[in-house]
Amino acid sequence: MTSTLTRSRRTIVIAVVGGVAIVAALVFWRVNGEAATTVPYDDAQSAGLLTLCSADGKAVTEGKVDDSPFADIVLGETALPSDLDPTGAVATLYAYQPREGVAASEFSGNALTAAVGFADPDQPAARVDDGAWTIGDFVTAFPADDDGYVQLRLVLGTPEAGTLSGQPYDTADLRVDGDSWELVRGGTASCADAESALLP
Amino acid sequence: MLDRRKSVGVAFVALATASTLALSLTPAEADFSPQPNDVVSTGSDIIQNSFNFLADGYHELPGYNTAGNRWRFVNFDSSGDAQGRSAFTDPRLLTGQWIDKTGETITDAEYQALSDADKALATKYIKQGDVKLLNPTISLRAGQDLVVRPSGGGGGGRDAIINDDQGWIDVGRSPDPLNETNQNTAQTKLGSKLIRVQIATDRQLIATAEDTNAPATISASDILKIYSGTITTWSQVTGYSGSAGAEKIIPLILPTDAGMWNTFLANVKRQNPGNDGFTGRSNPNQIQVQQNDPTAITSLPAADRKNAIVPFPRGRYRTLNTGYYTATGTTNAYNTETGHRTAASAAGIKLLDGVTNTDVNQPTAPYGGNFAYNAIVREKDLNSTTPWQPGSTLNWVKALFYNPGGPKPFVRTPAGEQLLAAAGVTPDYHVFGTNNAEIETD
Repeated sequence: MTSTLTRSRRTIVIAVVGGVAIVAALVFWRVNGEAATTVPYDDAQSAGLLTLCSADGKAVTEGKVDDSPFADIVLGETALPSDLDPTGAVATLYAYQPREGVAASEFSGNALTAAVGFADPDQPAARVDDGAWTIGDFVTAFPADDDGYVQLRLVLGTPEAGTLSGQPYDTADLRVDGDSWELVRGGTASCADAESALLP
Repeated sequence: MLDRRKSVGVAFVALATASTLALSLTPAEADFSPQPNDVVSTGSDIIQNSFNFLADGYHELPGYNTAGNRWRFVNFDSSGDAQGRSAFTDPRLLTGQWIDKTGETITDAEYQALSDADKALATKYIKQGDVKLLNPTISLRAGQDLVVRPSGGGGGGRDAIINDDQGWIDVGRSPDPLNETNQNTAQTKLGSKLIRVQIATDRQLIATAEDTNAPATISASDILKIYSGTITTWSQVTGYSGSAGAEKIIPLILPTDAGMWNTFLANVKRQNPGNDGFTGRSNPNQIQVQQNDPTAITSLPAADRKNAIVPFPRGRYRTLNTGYYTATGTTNAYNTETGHRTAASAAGIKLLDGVTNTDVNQPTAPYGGNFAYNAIVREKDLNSTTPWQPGSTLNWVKALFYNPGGPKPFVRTPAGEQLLAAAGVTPDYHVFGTNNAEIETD
């Protein structure tokens, strides 16, 4: 009897602990808003995650490397530093080439978009227009040799302070496989009002 | 334990001392010198602003180098002045002559013999011919010999790259096209012909004072006649209906070696076929001024200012109005010298027919002509199989200027075109091959 009770209690405890762990993991995933997948490089300057959106307000998580644009709007989550005058603030989307054994600060890369004005200094955003490099263009110029990874960075700037190259930036990580790409690590901001994040 | 602390203390002091010595022995930083794989551009002053924007951005707009890549795109300004002014010898350092209290011209030795009271009444003057252009030197490549700064689109852009057997200049900035002689010379000297990549178009128009006696437009035919001396007053200008008909037009001419003067002559001849002998320097009321300088008009006496006209590039006019330029005497916290002639804006002048973009090659059309912003590069650099940035497949020509069949070069990306527009010019992409014929790009 005692033995049966003990076993039952143990089973219940295990079930409760397991349940709590699952719930905690789910909460952690929701709070942090990112996929569990990690990327094979660290970027100490990465402050938050980028959400890729389509023009019709949906999240973009995959596509073909020749899609142009590969996403219509990119939403950041890290605000413009509060000590800066937000008047005329812009965001520019860059792509960088992770290379094994090379620090993120030494990655090579290129601007994908022009500098784009955004409406709310707390939520930077950039539009990717048809003239921007595709993911295919980028990996043609900078092959994704580190297991297919490409890092996107949203770099901010203001007329007064210039481009904030030394400031943290939001990032997303893509993985290219053949003629397709998928978002491996990105944000989960709502894309429903993505258009409103940009200045007209 | 104590010994170990002592050892640590001694080591720390030694390290601190060594660090201090090392810091104190660090040589003073020189101006920037490009590294071997940096891409170096020299040449035209009218084009330098747009190339500077492309390289390093402007205000909130990032340039190519903003990406932080290993190798950089480096532009040397034409005259050593980011605002495109010429550098002259300092007249204060010249011996010169003096005018004494009686109005007589005396030598410097005679001046030195004067009493202090008479010295105070004497005035020093410098003959114009004694004021020379400086030939400031720069280091085009780190650790290499200094060279006289390549200046101007012709000598410092096109010709500099043609004569650059050291390979220190990668890109020549020039508004001029290349001819067969240029290509053959390049082949002989460099072992490579040249590719001309036009990245933008600027437009030269006629500038006047804001408050001017000039009509809203002046035809190409009348500009020809004004600068030839056939027309000297406003009443002779076609369709003139103002009240200043009897006043003399003051055509401002530019130095014969100024790139904008050559552009002006070419435009006038193009719009007025059959006038190949036009020199533009035959009006009795002409005044020679610096190119691209609003003060050429605004510094004139008020009566003359209203009658002055000068060929002026629209890109510079627009850039002046963005506040890019600095009034060195008043707005620069680092400046200790005042009194320089600096136009910090285009205030006080305007462009006639300033919104047109298309050339009309007819004498009756308003004066105006487009000119190219060219990057001249070696064909062998285009064909190089050596990638530029670490990890990339693109050589520097393909990364920056011309990448046939591949991803757009930086000058054609949204970021690049945005920078060109910020520099006041129109992104306009054309590529011309080693036979100087245009190559289809799209």
